[in-house]
Amino acid sequence: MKKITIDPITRLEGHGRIEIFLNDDGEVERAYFQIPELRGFEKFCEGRPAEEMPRITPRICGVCPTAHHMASTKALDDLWKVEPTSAAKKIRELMYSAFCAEDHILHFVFLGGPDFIVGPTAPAGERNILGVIGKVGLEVGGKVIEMRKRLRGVIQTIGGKVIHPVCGLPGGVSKQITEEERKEFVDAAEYAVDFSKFILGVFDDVVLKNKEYVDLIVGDIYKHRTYYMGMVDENNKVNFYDGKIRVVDPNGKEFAKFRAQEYLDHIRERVEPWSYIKFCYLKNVGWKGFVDGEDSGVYRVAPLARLNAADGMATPLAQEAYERMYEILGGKPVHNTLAFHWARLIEALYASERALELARDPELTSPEIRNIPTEIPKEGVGVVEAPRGTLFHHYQTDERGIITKVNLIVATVNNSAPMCMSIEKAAKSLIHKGEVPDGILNMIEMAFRAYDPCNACATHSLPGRMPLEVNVYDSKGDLVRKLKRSG
Amino acid sequence: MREDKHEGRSSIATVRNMKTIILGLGNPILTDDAVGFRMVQELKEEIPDLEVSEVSEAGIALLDYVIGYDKLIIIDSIKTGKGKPGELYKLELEDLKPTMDFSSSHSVDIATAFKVGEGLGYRMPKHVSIYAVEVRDNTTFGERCTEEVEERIPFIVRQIIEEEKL
Repeated sequence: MKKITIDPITRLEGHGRIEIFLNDDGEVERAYFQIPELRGFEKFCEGRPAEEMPRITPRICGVCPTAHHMASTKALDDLWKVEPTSAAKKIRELMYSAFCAEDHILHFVFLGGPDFIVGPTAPAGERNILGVIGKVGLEVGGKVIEMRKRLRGVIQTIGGKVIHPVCGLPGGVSKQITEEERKEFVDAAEYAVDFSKFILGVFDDVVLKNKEYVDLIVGDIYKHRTYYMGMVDENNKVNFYDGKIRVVDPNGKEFAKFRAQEYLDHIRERVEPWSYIKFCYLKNVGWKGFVDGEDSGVYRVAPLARLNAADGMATPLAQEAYERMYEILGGKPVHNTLAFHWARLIEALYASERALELARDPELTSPEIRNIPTEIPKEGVGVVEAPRGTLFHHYQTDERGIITKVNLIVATVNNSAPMCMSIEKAAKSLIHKGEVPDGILNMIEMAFRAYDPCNACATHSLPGRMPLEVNVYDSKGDLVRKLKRSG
Repeated sequence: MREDKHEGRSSIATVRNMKTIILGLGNPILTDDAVGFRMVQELKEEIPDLEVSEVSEAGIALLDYVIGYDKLIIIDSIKTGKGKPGELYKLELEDLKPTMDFSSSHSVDIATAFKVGEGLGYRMPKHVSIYAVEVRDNTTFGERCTEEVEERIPFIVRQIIEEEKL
């Protein structure tokens, strides 16, 4: 048996790559971001009963299983034109809120946090979760794990399985909630509210009181004036589970508001010859390239985009935090990419508060958990706000409910154009006259880490994360510098 | 793993008495990415007493599966592109070179997850073996491994049983 040591970059296929091209003056001409793409999902689904989709789609990746399960279940509601019962909607939204809160907190503490809590210029060896724990204390690390455990307990009880929930059925859910379970949900949600408040406090103390960090957040390197998209309730407040999709322009003015079923009237996807990833843009603005501004159809999704696209938060503490963020950052919309981290924490607080509201609702234990579908299926669209942005599931079936066509727009793909723009802008700010500073890798990574891109498809195999390399080419196309993520 | 071998030589009984969990990592609908699942299924078939789990998660979530065990055996896929599909490698935890400046959620590697677990004072397995099976296709959706990988499974299952003295 061979014993090997892995160098993630040189020894593994299918890694992420950033290619930077310089012009004759040694300035950045273009930067490209590439990740491997999974293939054959549509074909895999064709010929299967649509009811299987909420159990298949969570397996697309190990990061957002609950989001896929929920979007898929909602697509089945629409496919059979059946409205879930009021209790079923609440049970679903509670599970979904628990998932969003947990996911957001984990991202901040484990991934975004190191840049801020430990510091963007700290040595790479310290800029990690252990560095965060070192700074905020072991007790906090334990609380993160405890909060995660409790919220996953909620998902497990409702969903049946924590990693790949199985509870969603067209018209409702599969299992009633007992009074005892409801009380446990209240405890878990209370814990999550407290912890989310605490983490926002840490953000205040460590980030907002540090001028260097605030300058970084509001600085031009990490700023793009784009459109923003997010789901809102009937009062235009952020909602993860249900509502209409609202788009605001770079000035914050409502540009569109549409139902899930109308998404193809508003969103187009385009292919670029150099990438496997598709690039979404607003059809009614048009594609003008990887550029900012009102004339460019590029839009952003995920935490900051959702806050920009809404008029506020539906829960009191999150609303306070929302108002404070916009006050400090100079009003709406905020275009600073690093503010995605702040918005993520505000959303974690919202999701926790929402989970608590739902857990306290006596209707949660109602036996009315499902309306049985009676219509003949044909076509259905389901949308949720995944932690990483708006997630669309669209199915077509024959009259027996056998899948004939599937279209998914996964959250990260909505952000693929802005992510490329953010990488290019960071590269342009940092590389001059052919000089490539050593610290560039982290500065560029910060540009897209804020979006929390879900490239989990590339991380199933060992070493368990996506290796990344940056190649810099001169104007003749010769490779002049190769940077790898190294230990 | 080095310690394992040492203990294995000194007392096989000690190894057998250790509370052991075997995790097969991967995605069951991504062709060869399912090989970790297939391996633990076959191992369980061979030795029904084994405690095995099929895991689609990575990083910190692994803590949920390993806390409280003495020994952990991980079986995952790998795509070096340089070996033959179905070839089995053995890795050390340290070989996974935790660089710990991740770019995507939950993509925290195994070694880091271990350090976090230890840092937080959990009882982590003292003995860890990591096996990786070279795969050909882990980016196409499909419920079966490629033939090259599938036909090697019985052989590599034997290899692991012998190496670990299961």
